[in-house]
Amino acid sequence: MTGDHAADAMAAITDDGTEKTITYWHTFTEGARKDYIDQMVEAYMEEHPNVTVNVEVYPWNVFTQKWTAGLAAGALPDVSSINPDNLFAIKQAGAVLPMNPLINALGEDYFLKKPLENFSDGDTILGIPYYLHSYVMWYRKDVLEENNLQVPGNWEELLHAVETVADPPNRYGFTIAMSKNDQMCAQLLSCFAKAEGAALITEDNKGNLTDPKVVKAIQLMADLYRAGSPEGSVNYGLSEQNDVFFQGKSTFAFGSGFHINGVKENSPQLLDKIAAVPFMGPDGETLGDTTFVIGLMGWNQTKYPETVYDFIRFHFEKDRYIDFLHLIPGGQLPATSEAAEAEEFYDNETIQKFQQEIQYIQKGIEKGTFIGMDYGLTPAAAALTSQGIIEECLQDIVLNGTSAEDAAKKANDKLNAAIEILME
Amino acid sequence: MIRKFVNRHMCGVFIAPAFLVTILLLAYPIGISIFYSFTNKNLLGKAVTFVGFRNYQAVLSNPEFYQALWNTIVYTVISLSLQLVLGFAVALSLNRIERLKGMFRTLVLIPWAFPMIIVTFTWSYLLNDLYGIVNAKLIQWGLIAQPIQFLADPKLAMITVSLINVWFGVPLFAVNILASLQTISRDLYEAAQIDGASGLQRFRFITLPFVRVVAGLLIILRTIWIFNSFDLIFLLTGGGPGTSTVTVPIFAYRMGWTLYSLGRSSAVTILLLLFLTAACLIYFKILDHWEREVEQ
Repeated sequence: MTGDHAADAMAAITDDGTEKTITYWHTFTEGARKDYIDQMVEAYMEEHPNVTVNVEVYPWNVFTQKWTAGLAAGALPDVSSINPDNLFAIKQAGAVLPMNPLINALGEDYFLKKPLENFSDGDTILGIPYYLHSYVMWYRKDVLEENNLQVPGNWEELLHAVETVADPPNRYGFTIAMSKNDQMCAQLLSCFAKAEGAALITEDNKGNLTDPKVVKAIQLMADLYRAGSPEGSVNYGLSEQNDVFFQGKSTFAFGSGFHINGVKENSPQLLDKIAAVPFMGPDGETLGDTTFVIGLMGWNQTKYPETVYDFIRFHFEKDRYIDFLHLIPGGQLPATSEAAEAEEFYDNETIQKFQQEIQYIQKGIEKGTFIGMDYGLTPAAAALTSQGIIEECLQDIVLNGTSAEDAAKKANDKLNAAIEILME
Repeated sequence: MIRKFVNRHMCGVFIAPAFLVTILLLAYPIGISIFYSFTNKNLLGKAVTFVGFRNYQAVLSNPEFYQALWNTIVYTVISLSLQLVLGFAVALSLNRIERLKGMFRTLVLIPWAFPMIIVTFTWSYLLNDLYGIVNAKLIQWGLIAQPIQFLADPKLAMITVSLINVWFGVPLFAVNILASLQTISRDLYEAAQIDGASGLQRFRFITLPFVRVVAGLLIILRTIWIFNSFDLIFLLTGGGPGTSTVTVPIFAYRMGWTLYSLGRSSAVTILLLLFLTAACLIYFKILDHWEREVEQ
């Protein structure tokens, strides 16, 4: 970039010093992260006395209703947190402020490549990843040792391990949470399917649940349930699923680095006994990973795009950003190259203790995609996670004895019907 | 002349605020829902086009809609009938209590005072198969060997959510029926007793006629509320396992909010409105008949 171009690019993201008010919707509802955001906003306003940032906090389950209502009423924020499903819908609604000027100013290498690509639609950058994670399979080292088991290297070994360790109601193997209120089955299926190289949505936006590889993964999940999941997990959501692992009752669990914090808070005595490996396919291969990102976006009705870019950039200033990531060590992984390479980020007791696991998660982030978005952002992914289709498919198998093929066919038809509505 | 003019037109001025409020709060939402139900209206703000009866056709040809409608009827009938019977029983008991009246009435009201989110989380935890106290106690007392899957068994899930709704809704019936019971003069009971009426006859010919108008109104209100209720079932089961607890509001929600299809969601809402209007007309007819009986 030449000097003039760089100056132009920076000017496009630099607040001009005039009096203004912007609205920031974020979704960090709980204590430490909410306090952090409040302090960060205070710091921004101190540095930019001409800018007032109005902060509004909404949990994710309210967020969709909030922005769709805001869209109809013309009452949208200037900046907000965002997740992949909502980002696509907002893009469809034509309400996204492209982040390209910010990237032009900061440089293409400022953010990690793949996560930024996952938040892009062609050349348009729709949002900026704030923190990242990918899913890995957590396990209890001590329980495997007690049972003379190795860490499973393929599906057969995993199923065998789950059968061996399950001793209900004292201990369970792998909790398969199927509540239609959550999307745990869909995410887990995505982990297994991507590992064996199968997508849940085809390139032309159709359901791919009848692909033999996906059916095999669905069958595996049903087998894992029967072999060693709490019977009631048919109605478990995220919190119940995590509770079983955090409290030491489940030997395996799927999750991100957030599991470290969960175990630390609930059963600190188990912290030395947990470890994680990447998800594997039937023969031990890991051909793909499922990632998840919470990002930041600008809304195109803003009167002050420069200030929006500047405010988003402020989130990523090195020391401040690392402080934010350390609020949940190992759970919130960096989206900027600078933080991902910074010694200060790794200079944390928990992150050092789980170095290996965090490396697996980071590798997953480097090559992974969001659920259903193997071929880019698509409305079909929202149909996978919002309708309880995969969860109902698994319930159908384990409660009614329906074959995996038939249940997958039924689910695929439903998925395609939902995609059709979303694409209208 | 002026007086005539004022008399003729002032009533319109006085009625206007109420009329406006009714239009804004009732007619507008219903009107706009009817309009949207004939369009492809989308929450993403795309251009709206007229689609005729396509949304109704899509909803009425979806077998899940009928499953949801049946589940809603079952949920409403179980919840309403048990709330009425238990509410009546609680009201009769409270009416007889002489000491610590205030305390007992407050205790009865407690379930009604909880926000629904607390109710669902609490019950969800109480009924959990691993940590829930209900299963733990039943096992401890030797009544069951394995935990009961209250919310995970499709055969039990509907009855469980209905009973939780009964627990939540009994106070409304109890308090209102109690208020109605207290308007009945004791002289009537004493006179009937002197005439040799049995307890059952006193209940049948004095208590019931006085209370049934209030109970009837409660039934109408609760039918509408229960039929439209969303949060309790959604938070407890999300409509599962399978489709065993999917009700019409959950069906409409999944269609409207998560697929952004306000047109189809409005069609479901209008069908629900028609169904409830028909049910309420029948109720009102019966209520009207009872009121006339009381007046006579």
